[in-house]
Amino acid sequence: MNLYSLLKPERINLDLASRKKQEVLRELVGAIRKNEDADLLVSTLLKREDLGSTGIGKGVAIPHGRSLVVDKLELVVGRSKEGVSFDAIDKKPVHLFFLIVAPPQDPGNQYLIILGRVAVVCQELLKRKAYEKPETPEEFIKLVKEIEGKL
Amino acid sequence: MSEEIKILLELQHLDYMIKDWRNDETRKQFQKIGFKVEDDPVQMLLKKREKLAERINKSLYQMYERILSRYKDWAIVPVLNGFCGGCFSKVPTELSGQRKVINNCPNCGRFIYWD
Repeated sequence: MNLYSLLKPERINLDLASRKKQEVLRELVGAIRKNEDADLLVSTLLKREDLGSTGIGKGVAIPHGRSLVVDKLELVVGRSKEGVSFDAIDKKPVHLFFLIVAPPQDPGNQYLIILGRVAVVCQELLKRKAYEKPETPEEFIKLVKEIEGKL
Repeated sequence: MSEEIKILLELQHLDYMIKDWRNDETRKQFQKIGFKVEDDPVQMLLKKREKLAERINKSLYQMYERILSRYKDWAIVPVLNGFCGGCFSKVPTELSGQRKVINNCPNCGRFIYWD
């Protein structure tokens, strides 16, 4: 399954305003849900973060969760030039976020497959800080497509 | 949305998470990706669950547990275009006038709520 086909320009924010964990989760969630659904999602994501940060190091975080408020897997990308304090495992600020929200029951366990795929693509995006280059969401999708073409 | 519905929804989201962390395949994948977690994430989540459950009345919580053990998937579902999100049967229109209180689907018994 290709990641780029799940990416939508309106769900890619290349200039996140938030600098703290809860705020950035709200900003990312805001791309898919508003109001009470967003509150519930943020609360769920924070509970997941309590287990251990989804900041996997080198400036990347992959917050994730399952929720009935979505009826299909949703992916949101966020990039922060200044970096976000996210309690990442290497304690460094996070610059690139992939938020994944999946329905509780998804066919073929797409959730796990996409989580794995995101981790692999992120490794490539980190090389020579490739993720910093795209200036528009469309360029970001194109970059992910190129990366996946070489995997 | 009432406070009780919000808590039931939070409870259900915690249950999804607990289910994932109890699943060996999922845990392995999480570790492979590089997520570092508490030694016993399930225990930690169960404690959170307990605290959350204390915030709703006991009979409501017991009903949640009964529905969940019956259906195994979800106990509280949204009403989507007038249909129960759990069993997909039509929800009587008179119930939609009571959105602020907790209702059960007349067909499957799951808690239902309106977005």
